[in-house]
Amino acid sequence: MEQDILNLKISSNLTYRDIAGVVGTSEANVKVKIHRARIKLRSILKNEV
Amino acid sequence: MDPLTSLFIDDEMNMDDKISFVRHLKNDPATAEEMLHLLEQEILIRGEVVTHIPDSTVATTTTWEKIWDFVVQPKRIITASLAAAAAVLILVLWSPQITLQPNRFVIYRPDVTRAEITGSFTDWQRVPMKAVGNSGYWEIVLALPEGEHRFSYILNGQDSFTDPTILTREQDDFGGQNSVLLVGNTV
Repeated sequence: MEQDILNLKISSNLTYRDIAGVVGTSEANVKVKIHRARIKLRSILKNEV
Repeated sequence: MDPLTSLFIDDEMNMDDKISFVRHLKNDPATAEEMLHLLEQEILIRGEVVTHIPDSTVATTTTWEKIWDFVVQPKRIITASLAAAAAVLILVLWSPQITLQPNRFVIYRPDVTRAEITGSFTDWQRVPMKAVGNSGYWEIVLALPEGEHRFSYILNGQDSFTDPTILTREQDDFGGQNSVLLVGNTV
């Protein structure tokens, strides 16, 4: 879910508010999920290096 | 990690968020460092590195410059020369050989002061014949290609005279006759 929201943000460049409307959640929730997804990705990439 | 970093990346900050974020970075160098990593990661996942196609460093040359560069290379000059020589040789060897055979024309007309020959092999131009002493004979030797030729003698500059030794004759377009001479093996 976090990954999907980050993908949506990057691919569509929608605002957090728009994404919240698309996925049916709050803007605050989108903010947190996107950030978590980035941190997870950062961790994955760091471990691969 | 504070979600402010993602707000910063995604341009979702209001002015209060920005102030809070700058203070955060100022007081926590580790967060600033992590922020830089996330920004680099963002560039990577957004594919921004491939949105700019670098200019080609290969010098472009015009077609004429390419041709000139091709031509002026010594090896290629030699190769081209050899190829041209070979092409000429092949053309010479393969072209049908035109063999000329000397043909002696002789008439006995002691009654004329001038004798000429005209024919398909002279493009119907009159060519003077040579008097053989005072014998009354007129002769000329012409190199003729193999094939069928038509000709006639012109006496005193005006009278047409067919060769009495050649039996094959044909009418010309002017009411006269031409001798038909076959040279070589042509049937």
